Amino acid sequence: MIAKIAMFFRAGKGYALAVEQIDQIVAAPRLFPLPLLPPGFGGVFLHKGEAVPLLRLQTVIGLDGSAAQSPPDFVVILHSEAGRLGLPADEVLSIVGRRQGASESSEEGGGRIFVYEDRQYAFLDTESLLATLLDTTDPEAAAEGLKED
Amino acid sequence: MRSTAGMKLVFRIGECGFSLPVEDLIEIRENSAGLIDRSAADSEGRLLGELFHRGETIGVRDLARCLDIVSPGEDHGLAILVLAAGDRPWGVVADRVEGLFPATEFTPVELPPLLARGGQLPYRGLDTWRDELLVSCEAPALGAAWEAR
Repeated sequence: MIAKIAMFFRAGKGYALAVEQIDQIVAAPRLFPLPLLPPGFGGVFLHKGEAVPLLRLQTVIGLDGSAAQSPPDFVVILHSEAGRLGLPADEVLSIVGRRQGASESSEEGGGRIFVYEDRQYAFLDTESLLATLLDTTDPEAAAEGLKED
Repeated sequence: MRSTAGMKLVFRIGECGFSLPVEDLIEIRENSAGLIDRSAADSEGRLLGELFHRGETIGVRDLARCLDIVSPGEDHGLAILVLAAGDRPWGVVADRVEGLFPATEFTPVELPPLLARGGQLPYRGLDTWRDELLVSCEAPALGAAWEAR
């Protein structure tokens, strides 16, 4: 059961994560491109001697424009069954109890959203998102990776 | 005279940095764009042309295209690395050569499990070198990747 939700902004759009999935939030690590990365990844960064892949959020939460391409101000480091990964963020908004907001089905794409103070945040379930990203390069299928916890 | 055994070459193609054991390297020919006989280039663009090297003609392969790297190309201090792998040497084009450095300056870093993709990538690991992540490559694996493209 998810007790707390953390909310972030990236390129003007919000997303939310279960706090227990978060290892650390770090300020703008240096990103390194690697050849032949799967399209869902935007490079890797060094964290405590470990290379951690940075996930792209473009297809996941529908970002477009140059802001989505810009280096993030923060990276949220998550743990998953497949190892650590980073999500880009421009703003770290707040952490709230799950019951302070509402979890709803998204009208777009069938994923989940977290609604807090009348704002909607795409709720990212890391494991299902990763499973989809690693299975396919289809952006629409990647968006299907957003599912209820 | 200092021995080059146990050293690594650092070079760049586009924004990607690479490390290569010096044992895989025969020669570095800097500012050598004009030496490539481009009439021998193949129609798919994988082979940039041929180079006369120590009494024989060797193929110069387009590693940037093979690895899907956007390379600034001929305007950026083109160097040809003559590599030893397989039956005969072959060349690859690098945008910049940083030099040869003692292997002790490099720390191996594992590829993130999310990116290893069951060994499908033409490199098996990374190196940290002077706070930078480099692709740790070997000539045989690069040759195999080029053949497979």
